[in-house]
Amino acid sequence: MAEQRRGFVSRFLRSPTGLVGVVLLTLILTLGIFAGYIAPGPPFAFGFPTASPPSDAHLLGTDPSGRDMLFLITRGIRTTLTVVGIVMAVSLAIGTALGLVAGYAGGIVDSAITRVAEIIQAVPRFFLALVVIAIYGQGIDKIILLLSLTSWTFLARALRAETLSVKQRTFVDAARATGARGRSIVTRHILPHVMPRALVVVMLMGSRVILIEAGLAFLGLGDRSNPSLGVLASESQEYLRQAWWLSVFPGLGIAITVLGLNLLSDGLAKAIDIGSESGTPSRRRRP
Amino acid sequence: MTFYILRRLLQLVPTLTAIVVITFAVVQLIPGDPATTLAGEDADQVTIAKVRAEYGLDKPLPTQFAQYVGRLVRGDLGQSYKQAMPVMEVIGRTLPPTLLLTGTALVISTLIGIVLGVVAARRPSGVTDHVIATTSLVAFAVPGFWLAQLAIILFVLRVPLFPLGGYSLFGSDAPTGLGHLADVGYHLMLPALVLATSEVAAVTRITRSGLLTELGANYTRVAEAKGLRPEDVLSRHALRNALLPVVTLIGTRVGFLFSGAVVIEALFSWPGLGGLLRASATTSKDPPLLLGIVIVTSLAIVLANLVTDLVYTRIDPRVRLG
Repeated sequence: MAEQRRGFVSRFLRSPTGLVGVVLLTLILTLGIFAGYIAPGPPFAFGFPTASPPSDAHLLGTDPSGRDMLFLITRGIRTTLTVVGIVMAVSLAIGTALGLVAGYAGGIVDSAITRVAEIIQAVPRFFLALVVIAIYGQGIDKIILLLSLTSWTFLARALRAETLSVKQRTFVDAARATGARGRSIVTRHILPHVMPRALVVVMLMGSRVILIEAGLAFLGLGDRSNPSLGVLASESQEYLRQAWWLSVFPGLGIAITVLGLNLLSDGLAKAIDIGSESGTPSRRRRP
Repeated sequence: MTFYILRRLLQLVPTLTAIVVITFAVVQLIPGDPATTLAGEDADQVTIAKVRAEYGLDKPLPTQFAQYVGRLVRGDLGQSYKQAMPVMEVIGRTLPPTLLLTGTALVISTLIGIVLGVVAARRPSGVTDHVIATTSLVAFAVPGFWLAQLAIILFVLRVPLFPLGGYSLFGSDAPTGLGHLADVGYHLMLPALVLATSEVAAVTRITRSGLLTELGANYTRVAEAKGLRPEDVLSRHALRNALLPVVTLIGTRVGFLFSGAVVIEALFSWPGLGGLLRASATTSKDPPLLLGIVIVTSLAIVLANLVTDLVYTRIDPRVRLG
């Protein structure tokens, strides 16, 4: 197993896709985690110029109320990462659990879980989120809750399919023959096999969540007391003519994060496909 | 075929139920007094009482639900408080421009995406392929409204190629007839291109990978062995099959385009659902209108999926009906 894992990591690192993804995400994570060192603040002080373009004193410029953009953007990255991180973790937990159970148990349990997932997916979540926030009031907790509740379904459906196919493999029969119970078969034998796929799906889902949050923020439904990158970009709208930097840098932050997640997910998927014997010829042909 | 359509329509029932139940739940779960929230911030007691009666909020839950379903079936989405007219009418006025924008973006993205996909698949791993792949990755990662902001900064404010926004010119110098159509098209171009960008990326990737699969299949090798020209192998054999997944995805893409469109519209002051949505979600607090928009867009997406499926069965003879 250890041997196999090392192969997986090296396969992953050999593809430029995954590597670039790691680099981009590391950049964003560094900016978010070490925000206090990179831009210690204060965000605005007497004497800060208002709406000034990038300069030595303010690397990314200042906004119309004289706040340092580097400060705002590093904090915005934190907020965005917090939202997407929690949504990804919750979806991973719910989606993996329900997907495994549905795929392994089958029958009524399976149809019930599949049905619930279909129902949730029937309503476009962007619009649903919009209405809920508009009616219930703004707040980052509501965005997180709503996106978590609507995002696990993608993972559950993907893992259900994956579990169905892994269930057929010989090692599951072997485990059963040695007297293993359902729960231990699922957690010890099937889960490790579907986990890489779960990560691929959850990262793609995370990148969509970032874009949805940004869209909501742009429509004025973000949390202004906790401005995410989306909120920052949306606030720049009135100053497009005078101050391009207000829009360009927050948007760039979103794009880098999303691109990083997509690339990481791509690289991971490729490493899984090459590693598994079931990789289709067409996939192998791809560079 | 008739049987298939009937069965497919029957499959819509759970989806429609889901839309109804979820929107109903959104209203029911409002903490405190739903009527006060629904009536809006600055509503007086009379309005609140009217809302309570209209939604039947003083009746038991099952009765409320039955009333709600009954109204939806009759196409009654309630009254918009700020616009002082039925929600259905407000949506009816603003939906056509949104459909025009979404439709244009759908067509543009499908055509450009297929062309780029074919170009990329001709020489896999070639320079062009890498350039197209990288560009699509970036295009797919960029938030729509940011792209729109960049486009406005570059192509409207710096280099004035396009109008800042709006649907058409108005006033005395507004052209009529064909001139009006051209004018609308000119205003439509930039928002439609911006909206189409991320979808171009999606279609390109699907077309490319589909083509590579088909070009490696036995039947295309037979076609090559017969001595067909490479262009014919591509256009008559491989491309037709490779495009099936592109068609399947149109329904899903309509959903993405819709949510993208409302954001882009707000930026280009396109007179569609977007501006309305932005206003009624933030400043004017108009829950009936918002719920109406959710229901109508959900229905539009459901319909788009239905049409996609029907088209699919027509063009892929392998899909067995019944």
